[in-house]
Amino acid sequence: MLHDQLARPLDLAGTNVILTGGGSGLGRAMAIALAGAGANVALSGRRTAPLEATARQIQAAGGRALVVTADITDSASVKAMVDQAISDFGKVDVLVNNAGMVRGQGGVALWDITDDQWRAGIEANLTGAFFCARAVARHMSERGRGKIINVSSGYGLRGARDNYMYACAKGGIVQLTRSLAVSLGRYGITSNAIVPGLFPTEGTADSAMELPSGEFIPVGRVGDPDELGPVAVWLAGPGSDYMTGEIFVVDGGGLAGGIAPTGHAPVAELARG
Amino acid sequence: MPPVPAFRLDGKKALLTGATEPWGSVIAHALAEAGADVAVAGRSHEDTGAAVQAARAAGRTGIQLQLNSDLPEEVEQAVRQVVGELFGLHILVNCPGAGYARPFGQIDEESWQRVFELNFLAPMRWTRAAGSHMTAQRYGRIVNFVSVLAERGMANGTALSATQAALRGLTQSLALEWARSGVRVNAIGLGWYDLADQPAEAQLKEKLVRFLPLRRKGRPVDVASLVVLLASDASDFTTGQTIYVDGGAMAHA
Repeated sequence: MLHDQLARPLDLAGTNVILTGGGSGLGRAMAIALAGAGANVALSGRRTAPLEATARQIQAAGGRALVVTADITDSASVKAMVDQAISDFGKVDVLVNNAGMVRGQGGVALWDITDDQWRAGIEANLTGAFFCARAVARHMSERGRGKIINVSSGYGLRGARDNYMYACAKGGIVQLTRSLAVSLGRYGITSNAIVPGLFPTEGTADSAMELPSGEFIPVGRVGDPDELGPVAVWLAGPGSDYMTGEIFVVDGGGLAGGIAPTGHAPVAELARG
Repeated sequence: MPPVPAFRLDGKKALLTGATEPWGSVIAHALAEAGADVAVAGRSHEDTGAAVQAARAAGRTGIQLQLNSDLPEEVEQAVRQVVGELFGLHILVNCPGAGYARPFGQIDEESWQRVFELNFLAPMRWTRAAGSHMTAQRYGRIVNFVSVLAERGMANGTALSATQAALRGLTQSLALEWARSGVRVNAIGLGWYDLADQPAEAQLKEKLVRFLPLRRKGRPVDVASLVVLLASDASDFTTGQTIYVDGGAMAHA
C-alpha cells in the first residue's frame, strides 16, 4: 500500500466506482476522469439517456461503464442500484455522491417556500447522499476498505441569499462527511467532500440562483468541469488514504476570502498608539 | 483521459525548503517522479543530502543549497541560484516546520522568536523571494505545510499553534493577492505523523492513536501525491486552501 501511494497514486485499475448523477455536469466530467484513470464506473441517475451518453463516451475511450437508472431519494431504488453494481463488478470500492438538484433551488423568498419545496430540496441534496452511503457502507466494511466522496458546495460553508434548501442540504453534506469519517474509519472506510466553486453546467444554467460571473472570482474566471477530474481521481486512489472527514475546495479562491469584495486590496500604514 | 496527465510535472523546476528527513526525501522523490527537477535548500548537507539523492534516484536533476534562511539576502540569493542552475522556478514547497510544546508560562522571549523564525518567518521569506520570480513570469505553485494546530487549540501548544495559524493566514491572503498573477498558494494540513515508521499495532498502544478515526498516525508518504497535485497545472482553480490530511483528527467531536 505504501508503494502504491508513491508509485501509482493515480492508477485506478481494478477500482470499481458508483457515481450518482453521472449523466451531466460535474458528475459526467468526474466519471470520465475516473474511467480515464482506469476505474470501472457505474453511472446512476434518474434519466437513462444521458447516462448512456456518458457510458458511450467512456467505452469509446476503452473504459468500462455500467448504467444503473435509480432515484437516490428512494431507498429501495438505491439498494437496487448498489446490488446491481456489486453483482456486475463483484465489489464496490468508491462511492461518489454527486447527484443533486440545482434546478428550482434558490431565488425564492423565505415566506414563499412551500413545505414540499423544502422537503424536495433536502431530499435531493442531502437525503439521497445519506441513502447511498448507508447502502454501500456495509459492503465496504465487510471488505475493510472503501472511499466515500461527497460533493458539497461553497454554499454548504457560507450563507446563500434566498437559497435555504440548497445551502442547508450542502452544509449537511459536510457534516455527513465528518460523521461517516469518524464512524467508519475503524472499518477502513474514508469519507471526504469536494467543494466546487462556480462551474457552469446544464444545472446552473437552469437555476434561478444568483451566481457570480468569473470577474467576481479571485482567479478571474469560472471553473471548467474537467478541472474536478484530477481531484476526484486523487480522492478515489491510494494517494489520499490518510485523508478522511475533510473537504477539498476547488473554487478559484472564493472561500479563501469573502470578507470584502473580490479585488479589495487596501494599503494602510501600521497604526501606533 | 485528458485530466490525468495534468498531474505530471514534466519541465517544471521545484524548490524544496526547510527539508528535514524523512520529509525531504519523500517529497523530493514524488516531485522528481512526476517529472520535476528539484533544488533542496537547508542549513547543511546533512539536512538536504538524502532529498537530493532521492530526486536523482527518480532520474531527475537534484541540486543542493546550503544557507541560513534567517537571513533574507541569503534566501534571495538562493532563489537566484536555483533559477540559474535549473533554468527556471515554478514550484515552491516549504516543508513542515519544527515541533514545539511547552506550558505558556515557560516559553521565554528567545523561544518565541525562534519558533516564529523557523515555522513562520523562514517560509515567509522563501515565499517572498520565489514569489517575486513567479509573479513576474505569471506562473507559480506554492505549497506550505501547516498543522491541524492552525485551526484547533491544544494545551502546551500556544507557540506552535500561533505560528501555524500565521502561516495559514499568509497562505489565504496571498492566494487572493496573487490570484490574477497565475500564482496559486495552498497549504497541506498535517495531523499526527509518525516519522519513525512504527507498525500500526504498536501505535495502537497510544491513547492518541486510538482516538484517530483511521487508528494510525500519518507518514510523509501520505501527502506525497497531494504535493504533486497542488504543484501541477491541474490545480489552477485551487487557491488559498488548506487541505488537511489528518486521519480524521479534525472530524472528531
